[in-house]
Amino acid sequence: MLPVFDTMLCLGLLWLGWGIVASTTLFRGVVLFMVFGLLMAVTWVRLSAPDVALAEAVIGAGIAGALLLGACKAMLSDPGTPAEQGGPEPAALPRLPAAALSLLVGAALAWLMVTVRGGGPVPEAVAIALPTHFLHNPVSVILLDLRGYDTLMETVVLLLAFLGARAMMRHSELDPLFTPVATHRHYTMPLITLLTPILLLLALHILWTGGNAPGGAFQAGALLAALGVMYQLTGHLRPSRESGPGVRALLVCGLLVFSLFACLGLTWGDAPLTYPRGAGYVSALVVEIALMLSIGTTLTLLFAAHPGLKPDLRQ
Amino acid sequence: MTILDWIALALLLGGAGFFFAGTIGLLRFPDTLCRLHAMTKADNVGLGLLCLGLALHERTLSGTLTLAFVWVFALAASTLSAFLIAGWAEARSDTGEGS
Repeated sequence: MLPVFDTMLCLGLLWLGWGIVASTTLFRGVVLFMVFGLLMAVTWVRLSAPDVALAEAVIGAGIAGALLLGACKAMLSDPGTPAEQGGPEPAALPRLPAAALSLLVGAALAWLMVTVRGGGPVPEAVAIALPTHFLHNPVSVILLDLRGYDTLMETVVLLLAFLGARAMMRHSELDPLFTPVATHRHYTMPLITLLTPILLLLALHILWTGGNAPGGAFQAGALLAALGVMYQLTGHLRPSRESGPGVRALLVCGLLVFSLFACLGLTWGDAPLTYPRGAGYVSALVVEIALMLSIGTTLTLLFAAHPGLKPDLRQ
Repeated sequence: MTILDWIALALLLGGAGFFFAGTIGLLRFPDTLCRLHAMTKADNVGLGLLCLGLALHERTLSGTLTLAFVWVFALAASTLSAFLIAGWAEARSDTGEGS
């Protein structure tokens, strides 16, 4: 049965991919992209990569989908899109070269995936480190210890991405994308009261189990961002043009704590990003919590398309 | 296969049948409210039967509880989104934009 399922999965992915590229309307493409993300998550599970599957489901299908839907709605409701203003139409991409390039890159990646054995360049290092390591999930061992630099740089990239987006926000006078409907509060309030504790618990659980099982700061942060998106859609958080000191602190705390920890490695070890003896798990946990808060705040603010958020307590 | 497995199989097939019918309804029914009706029936009953069948097949407490949670969350989400979409459709038809 499983080969049949895998074949259906592959064909479904290919079909959806084609559907996304060939869709006639933006909205259709975005919806297909979200379904693609979900199928992709199932595919990662089938490939025994539950960590990637979790990340794909919450970020690829969830947050990215919400961002794209928001952008889609802004473009549809904004009367001043270039095409309708009579401005210059964007030049059509030369399709044949683009398709050829995509096929070539895809073939090269597929060839790499097929020829590399054992799932990556560092399985030996993980196999050596894992039995005595304070973390028991090989993915977390790589992300937080063996390749800590990569995770640190990813944090920088995320902050830079938000700063870039923020610069754009300053120059474009976009209205808030979502004007929540007040009359729907009697539908949405029960959902908020039900989901707030559950999502918080789930995010902390995923962060906590990240040391021993699939999970970690990125997935937990994305879950917090899902909560933030829900609060915005129901009008409990409103975008604002000013970002308070709290928001700014949350944005940078991940990078700040991680960098501080990286430097402190020089005092208790002989290299940056080393873990102190005996307190490795606690340090990893502190770094992960700070990362989770920053990731959650960044993704929530990206969805808001505003520098800050303020709570709306009118009930 | 024990008798429980056969019951589980029947439940799973029944759930798949509900999803099939719901999908046909979503594609073929004329307006938003009828489509919502078909969609939510498939979600609620179809997924409920699937979860029940899988729980009978699994027969562990943690598995059954997980499946129950899956069903309850899907139920809450589909109910709420159905109400919101229905409200939106009603507001649109009131302003004369059609449905």
